[in-house]
Amino acid sequence: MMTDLFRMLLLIAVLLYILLIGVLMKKGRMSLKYSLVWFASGIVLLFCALFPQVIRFFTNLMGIYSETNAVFFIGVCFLLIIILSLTSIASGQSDRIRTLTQTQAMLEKRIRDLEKIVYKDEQNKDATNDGEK
Amino acid sequence: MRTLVIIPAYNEAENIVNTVTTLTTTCPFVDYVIINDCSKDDTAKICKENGYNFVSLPINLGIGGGMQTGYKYAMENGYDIAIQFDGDGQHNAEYIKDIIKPIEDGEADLVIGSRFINKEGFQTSFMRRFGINVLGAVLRICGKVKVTDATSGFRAASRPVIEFFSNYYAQDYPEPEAIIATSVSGFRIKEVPVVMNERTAGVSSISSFKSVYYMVKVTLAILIYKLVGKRWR
Repeated sequence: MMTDLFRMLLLIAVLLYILLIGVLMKKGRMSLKYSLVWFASGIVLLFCALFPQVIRFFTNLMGIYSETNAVFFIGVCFLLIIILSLTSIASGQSDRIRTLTQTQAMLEKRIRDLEKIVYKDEQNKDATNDGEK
Repeated sequence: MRTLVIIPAYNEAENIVNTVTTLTTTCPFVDYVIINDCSKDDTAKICKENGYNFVSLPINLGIGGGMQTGYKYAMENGYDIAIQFDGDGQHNAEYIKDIIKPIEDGEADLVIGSRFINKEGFQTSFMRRFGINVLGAVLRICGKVKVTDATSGFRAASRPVIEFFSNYYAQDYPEPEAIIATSVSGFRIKEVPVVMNERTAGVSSISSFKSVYYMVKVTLAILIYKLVGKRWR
């Protein structure tokens, strides 16, 4: 059984949370791709606060004693998914950074080698010009 | 065959001149490239002043990312054989011809220089040897490869392995993982006896403090590799 006080608190917290996500997105601090799972978690929790009968149904279905626990459980599940997706994003990015670093380093080497050749050519040119004079 | 020696160097200012000089006098028939993994000391400056052939990474990638850069370089410049050769004086340039011979003869795709076949030269501490034996056993069971010196960084790779490593190379403690990766992908691995020196300066990438963590991690990586298959990365 969720008390009305808890429902109110949950409602306010969830609304603030969704607002925060909106602000971050508007400022361009969170890309749409990664915000979806955060939004989904907010909407489900909002649903829990607005329609306690739905959560009561799921609580009985899953054999959980209290609806409050079910809400926490859902919240934890979302957190796990989000953290997992963050790890996957971090791994992907470190892969990309590595490839970028390696490509950049090899390009830098090519430029260095080319500069050496150009420098040598110019010196040769200068030498032949001097000879003609 | 065109052969490239990859010399990974992280804070090797004290050793690098010695390593390159010994290498170029002992093996004039090979090219080399130094991979300066964003060293904090004068490694880059020394390479520049001496006119060495080097690639300088703008951020530190660790031994795996550095070594992979070398393989990418070998790939781009069309080398047939790439040799891993430490910049700290541990590896002996005299054995380079031994280590590339099985590839030239077409007997193997990846050749590993092992300290423990003839048991000559520097043999490392007892605990480390024990760890290497455990890794060898894990590799034998999981990868069906017989390797006496799984952590040896003295290796030669054929063109197909160069291509493989430039696309996929294990990052954290790459030597044992590279063995299982190549073995699972069907490459032929061979070991040849070499003599190694005690490093003249600098520290090993595997400190004794981290060695337990290292063992657990590498064993786990090998097991996961075995379970998930060859496309795992």
